[in-house]
Amino acid sequence: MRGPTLLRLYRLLLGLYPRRFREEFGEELVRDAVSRAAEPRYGGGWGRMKLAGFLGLDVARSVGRAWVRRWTHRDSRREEGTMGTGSTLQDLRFALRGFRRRPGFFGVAAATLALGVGAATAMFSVVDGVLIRPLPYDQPDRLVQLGTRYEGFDGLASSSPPDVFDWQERTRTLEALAASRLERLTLLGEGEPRQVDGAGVSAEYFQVLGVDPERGRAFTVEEDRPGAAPVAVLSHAFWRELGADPSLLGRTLTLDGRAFGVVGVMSPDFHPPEAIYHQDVDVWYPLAHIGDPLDVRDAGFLQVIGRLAPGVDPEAAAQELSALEGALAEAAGRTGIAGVGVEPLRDATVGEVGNTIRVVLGAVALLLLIAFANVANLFLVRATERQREMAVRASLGASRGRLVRQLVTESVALAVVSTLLAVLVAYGALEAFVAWSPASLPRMSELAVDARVLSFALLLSLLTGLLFGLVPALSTRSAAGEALRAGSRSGGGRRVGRLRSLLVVGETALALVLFVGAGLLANSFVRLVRVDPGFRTGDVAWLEVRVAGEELPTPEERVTFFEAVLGRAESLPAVRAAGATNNLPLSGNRTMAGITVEGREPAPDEPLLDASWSLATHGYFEALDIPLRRGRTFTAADGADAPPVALVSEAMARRLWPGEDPLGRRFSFGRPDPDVPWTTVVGVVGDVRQQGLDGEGEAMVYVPFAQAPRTGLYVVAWTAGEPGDVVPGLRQAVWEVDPTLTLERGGTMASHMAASVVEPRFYTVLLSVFAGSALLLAFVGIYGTMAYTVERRTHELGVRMALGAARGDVVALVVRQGAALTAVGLGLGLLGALASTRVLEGMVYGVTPTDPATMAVVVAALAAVALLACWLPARRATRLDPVRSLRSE
Amino acid sequence: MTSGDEGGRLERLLPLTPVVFHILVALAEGPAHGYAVAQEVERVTDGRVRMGPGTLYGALQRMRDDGLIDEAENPGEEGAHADRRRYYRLTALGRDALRAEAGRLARAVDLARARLEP
Repeated sequence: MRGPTLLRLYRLLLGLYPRRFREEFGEELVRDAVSRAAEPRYGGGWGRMKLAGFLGLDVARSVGRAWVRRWTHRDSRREEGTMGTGSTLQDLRFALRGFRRRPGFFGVAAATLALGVGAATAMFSVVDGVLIRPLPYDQPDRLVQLGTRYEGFDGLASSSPPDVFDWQERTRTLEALAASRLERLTLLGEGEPRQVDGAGVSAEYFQVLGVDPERGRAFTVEEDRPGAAPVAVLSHAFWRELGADPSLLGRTLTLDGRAFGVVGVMSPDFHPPEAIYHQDVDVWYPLAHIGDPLDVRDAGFLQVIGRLAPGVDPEAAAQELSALEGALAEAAGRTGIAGVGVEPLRDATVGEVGNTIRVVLGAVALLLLIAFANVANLFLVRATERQREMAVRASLGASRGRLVRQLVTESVALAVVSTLLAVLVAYGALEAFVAWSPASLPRMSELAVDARVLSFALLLSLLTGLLFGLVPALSTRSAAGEALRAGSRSGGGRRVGRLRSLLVVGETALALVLFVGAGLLANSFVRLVRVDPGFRTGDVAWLEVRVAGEELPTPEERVTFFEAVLGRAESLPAVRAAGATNNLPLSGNRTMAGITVEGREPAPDEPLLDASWSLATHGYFEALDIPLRRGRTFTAADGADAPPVALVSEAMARRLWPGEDPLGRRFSFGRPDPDVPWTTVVGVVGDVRQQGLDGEGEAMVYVPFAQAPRTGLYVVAWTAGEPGDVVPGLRQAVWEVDPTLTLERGGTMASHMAASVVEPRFYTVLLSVFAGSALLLAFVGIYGTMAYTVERRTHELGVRMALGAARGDVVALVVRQGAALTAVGLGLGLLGALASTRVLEGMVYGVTPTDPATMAVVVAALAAVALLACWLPARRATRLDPVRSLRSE
Repeated sequence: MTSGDEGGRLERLLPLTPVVFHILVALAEGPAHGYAVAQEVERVTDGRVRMGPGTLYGALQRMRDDGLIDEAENPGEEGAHADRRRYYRLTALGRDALRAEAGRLARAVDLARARLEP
């Protein structure tokens, strides 16, 4: 920026100061700026920028004081004695009296503001709690999440224990690092047997986070060694569930059949990182006691967090660990590893929700703007109505400052009342939001309306109050004398009329943007739930059956157990067919494996093909009506000793053997091993949406349960009647085989499917509520404006009707005026919607963010509502008695 | 000596804001125009207090209305704008206010030192 330009800008800025100050000091201010511009430190381009910043800040800082001084100074000279608190109280009394006289105006204004400010406050506390507030740990900026990175995959994968132990030992960039493994454990001996959420963690876990147990202690390194006696730290909530008994410390809990000595209890404020992005944890115990072996370098299942050494950034840590990992992989002859990723823990836990929160925040901002426009509109009506009153008071000697202050007092009083209401709205909205929000939103348990949030609401309301007190006051000011001279009919100058039209146009446009967003989400949601998932969803019941590994140690026992369970299930009269799998469709779970296709074996340094695979019993495909396209499904003959067989889904057949017949083809899990026979494809089945309704039909391999038995399966049953009634029968069938199992998770396939779309449904409902409120506000705004116009034109309309205008003509006259405003608003809103709905990309399924059909429907609906809002006052106009309206002067 | 009325006015003005205090200190050397005051303040505070024109003249206006300073003749400086600049000087009240504030600060400093040193 060149010197002269800067000075010209500065001169313009000086216009912000009161005239008296400008007249007295304006020249000096400019001379000062000129002198400064000549100083060496403000030379050059960068210096000019610095000077611009300095002068700009100075204006911002001093202009408010100058105005305060001007008001207080002038008024204290003119109206000394009447400016004390007495007159403010008087203003307040006057304001309250006014509100009582016009309860309709006051009620609508307060409710509108409360709705807008309340919604904004609730959303602010969500954003504040989820995105702004630091994670609740010691020096959270130094916390990172680590993970192994694989070639061809973005993001961090779980890491294997030997890798993590090696990192722990050799890293210099991390002060400490710790691993965790989430598990479900069965708690026995404390009332009914039940499942609890456990986490096996390294001894350094609590130290990395910088937190200590509230009672007792954390683990020692010695306790995290194989063979050490099992110990546990409880969450505060879990401790309370167990009776909050201090003597629990030192006692033992039986988890999955092992006795854990309780050594500590966490504080109620502690939210583990797992709870932030995954699930709450009831009990922590040393990693040495998890169910999986810790010595397999190929098995990655640990979540890793670390604390950066002071002054080290994640990038440097990633470089160091990647080099380390590269050496480890090379030594072990492993391939496909790209390195180690290190992300700030904050990004890893709340990074992904940024976009959805931005969408909701945008919706709230629109609603707030609409509420503001509406309240401004109401205030304008009121100010116009009162022009005569103000004019009379002004002519009786009240100063302009006094009148402005009267109006400001009124609006601030309104703002205070609406703040109180808004806080109630915010509490309610936040509670509803937390209760109904999908579990995938992090940090929900930390949310609360607190002092920061309340000050936000107060600030917002006060700003509103001042704005809407002052704007109408200033805009009516010039018309005051005119109002007194003219009759009441002319009240509300042309300027005010224009401002009101502008507000109606703006409101309509904003409401349309919100409505298009809600429409898109609703449209996409309907498409989503109509998607064919590839399997039967009606008349299906399911039940998760999970047995502790040590109770069924051998494959034979596992097969026997589940065959007994399924046999009993199938003998239930209401069950037509029953089967089981380890990955229930639509649950988002998948099991991956690297496979080798016979005849296309990769070189030793080439990665394997990834395939998603599931176990299935022979009844599974019948129970879920997954169609058999070719070959056969599994039979009882596909047992442990029979040759290994598999089914592939159509998508997998196309992927592995494009254009060829997959029947009879062979592949192996992992690299071919001369000691392990090839697995033969015996059939092709239809694709199933395994991950979710918005996903693709998954390319899958199915393996007969008997050939790779596990201890946790989902039993599914095709039922003859209402599937919900069959679930207890299924439970009973399992208990006949093993009465100690917990069997908490189960239900109908229909509700399982509904649960899989809980997130899109939540955002659809949320945006619809916003759009509905916006529609209501827009309706009130348009109706108010048109009703007011009709009132102002009563005389004119009366004349027209007296001269023979038909009712239809009068209606058309009024509606045309409103329709013009609405049309402009809708046009602008459509442009706004086209420009802004892009943020919904990634949240919609099956429609583009600019879907023309949605836009058309929404525009039509909003136009209809707007026309109704115009038509109602117009109809009233035609009911006027011409004689009376002529007398209305 | 301060008259009773002036004592009351003084009391209302104390304690001084840092900006007012520094301007008084700068003007205690003799009359100066606004820009010179700002530069002097910046010099004696090692650049820690930097007053932009709006802040400076806002303060000068308030101080003049409060009777702490007065407009003065150009004390004989020369330069590009010297004859058109507005010059300011301390009034007796300003001098008293500065003295009172300096005493208040000195007592505060003494107290702090006494408590810090065993």
